[in-house]
Amino acid sequence: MGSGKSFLFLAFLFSTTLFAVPSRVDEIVAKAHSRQLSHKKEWLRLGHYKGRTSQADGMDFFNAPNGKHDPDAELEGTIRALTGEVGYCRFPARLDFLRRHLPEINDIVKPRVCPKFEMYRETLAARSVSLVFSSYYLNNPASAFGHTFLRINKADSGKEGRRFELLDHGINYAATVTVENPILYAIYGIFGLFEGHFTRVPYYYKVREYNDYESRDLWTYDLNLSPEQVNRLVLHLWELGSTYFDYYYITENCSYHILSSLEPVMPDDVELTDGLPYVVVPVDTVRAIAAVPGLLKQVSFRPALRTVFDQRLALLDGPETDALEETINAEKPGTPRLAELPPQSRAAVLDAAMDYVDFMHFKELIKEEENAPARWKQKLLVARSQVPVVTGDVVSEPTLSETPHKGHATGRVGLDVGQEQARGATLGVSWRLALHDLLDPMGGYPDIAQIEFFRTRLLLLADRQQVKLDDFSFFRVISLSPWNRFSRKMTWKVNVGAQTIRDESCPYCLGAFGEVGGGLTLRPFPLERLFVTFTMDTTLALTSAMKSFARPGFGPTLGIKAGLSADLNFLVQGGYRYYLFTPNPHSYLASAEARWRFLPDLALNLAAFHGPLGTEGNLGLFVYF
Amino acid sequence: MGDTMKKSILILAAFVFVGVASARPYGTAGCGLGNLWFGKNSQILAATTNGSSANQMFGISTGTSNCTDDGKSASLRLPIFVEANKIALANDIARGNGETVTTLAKVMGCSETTGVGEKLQSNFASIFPNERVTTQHVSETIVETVKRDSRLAADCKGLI
Repeated sequence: MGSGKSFLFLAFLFSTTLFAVPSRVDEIVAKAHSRQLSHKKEWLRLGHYKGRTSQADGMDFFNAPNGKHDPDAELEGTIRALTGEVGYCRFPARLDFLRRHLPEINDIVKPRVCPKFEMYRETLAARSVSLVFSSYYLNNPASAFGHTFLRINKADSGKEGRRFELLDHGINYAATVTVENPILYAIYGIFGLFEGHFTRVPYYYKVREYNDYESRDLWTYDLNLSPEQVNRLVLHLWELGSTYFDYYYITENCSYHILSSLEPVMPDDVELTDGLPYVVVPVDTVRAIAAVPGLLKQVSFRPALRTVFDQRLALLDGPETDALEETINAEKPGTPRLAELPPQSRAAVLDAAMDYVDFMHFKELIKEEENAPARWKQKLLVARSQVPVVTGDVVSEPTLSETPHKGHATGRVGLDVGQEQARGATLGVSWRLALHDLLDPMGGYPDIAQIEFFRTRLLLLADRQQVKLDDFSFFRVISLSPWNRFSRKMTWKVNVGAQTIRDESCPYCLGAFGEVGGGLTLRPFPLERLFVTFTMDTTLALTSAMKSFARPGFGPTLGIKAGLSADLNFLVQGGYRYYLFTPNPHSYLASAEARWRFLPDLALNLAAFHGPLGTEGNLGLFVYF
Repeated sequence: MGDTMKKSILILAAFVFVGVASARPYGTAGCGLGNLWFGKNSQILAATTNGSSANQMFGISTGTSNCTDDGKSASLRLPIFVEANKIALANDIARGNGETVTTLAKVMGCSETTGVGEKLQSNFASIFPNERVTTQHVSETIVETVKRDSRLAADCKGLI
C-alpha cells in the first residue's frame, strides 16, 4: 500500500495520456465516416444541402464551424453535439437518423428529457399531414401567386376527420418583414434580405386569415405518409424551428421550403425540390407533390367567405333575393319583405346577409370596437338566432378540373407568323415566366384575373431583316370584379415594362411603359363566361426617340371577354387615347384575339390589331411547360 | 404560535394567492384576430408576408406562446378557442350549426357534438348580449347554458 501503488497508478495514467487512447466518441465518429453516413441522401436532406452547401442560414442549425459548407464535418459535429443536452434536444431527427444507421451511437448518447420538445410533440398529436394551398389573392403582390403551408392533423385525414380540422396545427414558412417602405420591401424580398422562419400556428388562425379575412379558398391535399414518416417530419420541423433561411421571393420562397421540409422523410428516389423550375410558383410545388405516385391521397376544398355567400345567393329565389337586398340596404333585419317570408326563407336570407356583412367589413368587425358594422352585425345575429331554423352544413365539391394543380403549366412559350400593314411579314417569339392571362385555358385558375410575370415578345421583321423587342412586361395584373347587386368592387389593371408605340406620336418606337387603369366589369347576360369591362386608363411611355422623352396619356378602354368553354376563349378590346407632349395627341386601338387549347399543353392563338399605323395580325402556337 | 403553524399559514396563503391569481380572467385579449393582425405587436405589413403577423409569437422552438393552449390548464382551453374564433362562433351559434360550434363542442369534451349548436342558438342573446362582449362572458355563459341541459351536461365531460 502507499507509495508503491500510487506510483503504479500514476505510471498508468501517464501511459494512457501518452498513447492517447481514442475515446468512444471518436470511435463512433470514425464508424460514421467509414459507413459514409454523411453521403446518404437522408443526411443531406436533413441538413438542406444542395451540393455541398446548406441552404439554411441560421448558425444554430450547424454543429461544426464550417458545417454549412461541409456535410462530413457537420456529421461529426452533430455526433459530438448529441452527447450534450442542447444538441440532443435540438436535433431529434438527426438523432433518429443516426440511431437507425449507427446503433452504436446509443453508447454515447443517453436518453434525456426535453420538456419543450415533448410539449410540442404532444400538442401536435400528429397522425397525418396535409399540404394546404391558399388560392390566388391579387390584393397584394406576395399573395398574387397563392401560398402553401402544411397542416399537421390529429386524425388520419379523410372526410370524417374533417370535422375538427380547426384544432389541427398549421406549419408555415414566411419572411419576417423588417421594413415598411414598399420599395425596400420588394428589394429585400427579391434579394434575400429577410429571414424566413417556420412557425406553428393553430389552424383556426389560418382559416380566419385566408378564408375569412382575405376571402381566399383553401385547397387541402392530404398526403399519404406512413406513421414513421409523419413522426420523422414532426422531429425535423422541430429542428427547422431553431434556424432560418434567407427568404427569396422568387426562388426559396414560402412554398419552396414547405416542400424542402418534406424531403427528408421521402424515400431516396423521390425528388421534390430538384424538379422545380428556377422560379418557384406555389402551384408548381403542389404539382410536384401530385406527380409522386401514391403521395397524394385526396383533395378537399374549403370555400372562402365570399364563395360561401355566392353559394347561398345562388340558392335564393326571387322574393328571397329581393328581401336580401332590402335587408342589406336598410341595415336592419326587420324589413317588410323579410317578415313576409316563411321561417326557412328568413333563415336563408339572414344567413346570406351575415356573410355579406362579414366579408364587406371583416377588418372592422375583428377590431371589436363599437362601430357601425359591428352594431349592424349584432342585430343580424340576434334576428337570425330568433328564427328557429338550423342552417345545414355548407357543402362544396368543386370538380377535379377546377383544382389548382390541374391548371395549365405556369410557363409559356409561343411562336407566331403574321403580317403588319406597315412593316411586312413578321415572325414572333414570345415567352412568359408565369402565370395566366384572360385567354389562357381556365380550370384551376381564376376566371377573371390575369397575373403575368416577365412576359416578352420578340419580333423578326422579315422584309427589313430586323429583330426587335416588341413588348416586355415586368409584371402585368388585371383583376376583373363583375358587379352584381351585392358586389361592387373596382376592376383594375397594372402593367409595367416596355412597349412598342403603335401610333403617330413615335411610330414603332420602343419605350419604357407603365399603365394603370380602373373601372368596372359587368356580366350583362346570365352566361357564366361573358364579361364586359370598362376602364379609364392612364399610361406613361418614356423613350429617347421622342423630343419630349415622356408621353403621358389617358383614355377609356372597353373589353369583352367570352369563354365558349374552359379551353376556347375570346377577347375583343377597343380604346381611345389622348396623349400629351406630342403633335399627334389622338389615338385609338382595337384588337381581337382568340385562343384554343386543343391538347393538354398546346394552344392555337389568332390575334388581330388595328391602330393609326395600320392593321396587323398573326397566327401562333403556344406551348405550356 | 409555533414555527410549524407559521409555515402552514404561509403555505396556505401561498396556495390561496395562486388560486386567486389563476382565477383572474385569462389575458386572451392579445390573441383575438384584431390584436394579432393589427395590434401593437403585429408587423405593419402583416398582410403582405403571406404569414401570420405573429411570426415571433408562434416560433416552433420558442416553446409556448400566449395564444396557444399547449401547457395551459384545461380551464383555459375554451376561452382561448373563443377568443380567436369569436366571429365565426357567433355566426354558428346564431345559425344553430356550423364547423366552429361543432369544434367548440369538441373542446368542451362532448362526444355528441351536433346538438350543442341548437341548444346554444336559443340562448344566443345571453351568450352574445352586445357587440362588445368579453371572451370571459361568452365562455362562462356557454358553459352555464350547457350545464343547464342535463343531457348535454352528462355528455360534455370537459366542462369546467
